[in-house]
Amino acid sequence: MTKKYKGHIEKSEIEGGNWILRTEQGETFQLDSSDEKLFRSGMAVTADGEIRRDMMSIGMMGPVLKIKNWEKA
Amino acid sequence: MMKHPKLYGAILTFLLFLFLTQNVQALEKSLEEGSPYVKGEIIVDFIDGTTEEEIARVCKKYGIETYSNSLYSRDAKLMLARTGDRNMERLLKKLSREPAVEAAEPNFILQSFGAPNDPLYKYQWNMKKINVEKAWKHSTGKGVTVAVIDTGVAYENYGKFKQLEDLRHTEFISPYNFVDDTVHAGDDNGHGSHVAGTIAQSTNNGKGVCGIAYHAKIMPVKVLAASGSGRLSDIADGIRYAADNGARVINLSLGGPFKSEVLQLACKYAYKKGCVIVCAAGNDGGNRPNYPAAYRECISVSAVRDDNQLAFYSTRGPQIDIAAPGGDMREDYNGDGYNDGILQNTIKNGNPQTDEYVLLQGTSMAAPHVAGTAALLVSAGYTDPKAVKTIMQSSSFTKGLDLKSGYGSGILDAGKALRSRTALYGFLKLALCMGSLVFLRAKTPSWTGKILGSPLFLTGALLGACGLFFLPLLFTAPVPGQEFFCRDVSQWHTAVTGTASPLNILFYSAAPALALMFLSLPLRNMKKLALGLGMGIACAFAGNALTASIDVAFVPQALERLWFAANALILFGFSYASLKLLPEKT
Repeated sequence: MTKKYKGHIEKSEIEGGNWILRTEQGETFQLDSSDEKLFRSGMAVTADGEIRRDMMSIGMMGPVLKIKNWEKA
Repeated sequence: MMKHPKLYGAILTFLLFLFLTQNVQALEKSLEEGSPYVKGEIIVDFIDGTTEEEIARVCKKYGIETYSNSLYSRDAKLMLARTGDRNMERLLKKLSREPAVEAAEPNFILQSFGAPNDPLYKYQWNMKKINVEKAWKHSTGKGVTVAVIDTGVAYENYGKFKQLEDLRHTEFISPYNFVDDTVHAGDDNGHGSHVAGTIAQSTNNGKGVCGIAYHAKIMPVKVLAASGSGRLSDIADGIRYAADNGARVINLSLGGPFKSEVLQLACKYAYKKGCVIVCAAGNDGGNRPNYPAAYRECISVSAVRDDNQLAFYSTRGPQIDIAAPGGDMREDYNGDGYNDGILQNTIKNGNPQTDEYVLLQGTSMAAPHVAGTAALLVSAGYTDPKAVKTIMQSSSFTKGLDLKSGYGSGILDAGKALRSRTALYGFLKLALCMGSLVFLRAKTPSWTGKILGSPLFLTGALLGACGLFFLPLLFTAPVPGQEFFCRDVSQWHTAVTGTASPLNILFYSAAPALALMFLSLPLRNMKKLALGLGMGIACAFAGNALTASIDVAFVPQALERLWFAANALILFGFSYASLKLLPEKT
């Protein structure tokens, strides 16, 4: 189910560097997106995404969030 | 008892010969492989009594300048000489032929015994923390396959993938790529190769860094894409594939916060097949369980820094089983000039063509320390996954730690794990053997004392019960051939067939020893050895039943104690009956 998420993009230095979204509610998601432009540390975004319960990651900081659409907030 | 001192002398001489020749071979090999030495400097040992004039003449002839290393060396005529850029090999040959020179050789840089010659080892604080050098005395992981279920491993030159320099001497087996459905499981992220390196980086190759179980085989199983994430279906498939293809240890440096029955069933399947499953606990810094780490079948590993503090990112909470070095890149606690990450050889993130030594931090880096140590234990004969977990937990470092905060049982100590179990299980089997001897001596006719006290019977009993298990505890160097001499006979097959062979049910049964005893009953001397072996193996099996440390193929884990106890009784019963019923003149 796709939902709207608001927060900041961050590059975590754990596990060699992996991209996460920290939401305003304090949740952390592992980002899954093929759009390279999304990966800008510190960028505030509003994104439509789907939590993938069927995916795991090396980051292990939160659920994998598949990004469908996004824009700078 | 010592009626055959010559036989004992011969056995001891043979063992000593093996030990010495193996060490000489190791020294020769290290010279061939290029042990480090001081560039442009040699050692010249002049014959005692050589005059200063004679030394000056030799120096002048070869254009070298000698100086003494110390006051003592001046008296002993042991001199250092600068050679500049000259061909050292040729100069050493010529000097060795001089009548006044006793020996001339490069000034080798020697390391403490046990330290590998990998030049970046000095930055692997994590290896010292787990006492890996002490563990290597007992095992280096021979005969064990470790599956690295991850982003792949840079183990071959194929297409866009490149083999890493410091994985060239590591053995790989049965790779599979579930992301692209191919047998080429190269790494396009860098994470999997780093994890594989901690487990079995090529070691003592004079290059880069070392790995913990460097003689183990790595099974690269790619289930995560270059992005570092992957589907549960691929991960579950990867776990079952590893278990079905001979992996005895599985490393899962991945996870997520959601439970999955499919994943848990895969873990249960592998566990029942005898796999030790080691998982990273997670990197969210909180107490939320991460899966598969939180499953009962898995060993959940949190991460610590060099100062034994839990790393800021490490998942904590009661689901943690054990802690291991995972690093903290914000600190240089040990003052070696680099941040305290875990150093291994891998590709640059996302570029499979590069070859770098990279410091990383994370519970993904902690888990392979436990997986590598598990491989050492399995290789040393402790093949039951529950026993492996218990051994690592009971030997972990706990001093000054608040264990409830997320260390599990404490910090992994590979050296103590191997050493303590070798001693404990060895002495237990030896005690059972001595008790059995006393019992047989008391309960069989008095003439059997001639058999029970004979060197052949006692040798058989010792080899059958525990082997020369105490040798690695006495020597500072690994004992050559220890996978045979230092273990009980029923375990010798693992050195040949590996630790995952379904044949082990045969060797862990009474059948071979029974056959040997039965066939040798008519033979005077052979009978003594066979009866000794039978009684010894019965004691080893009794020990296995008590410690539940060995996995038997086809026997459910719940019945393994019973299996060993029953086979021990059969063997002991046969030895007892033979001694009781045999006529005296046999």
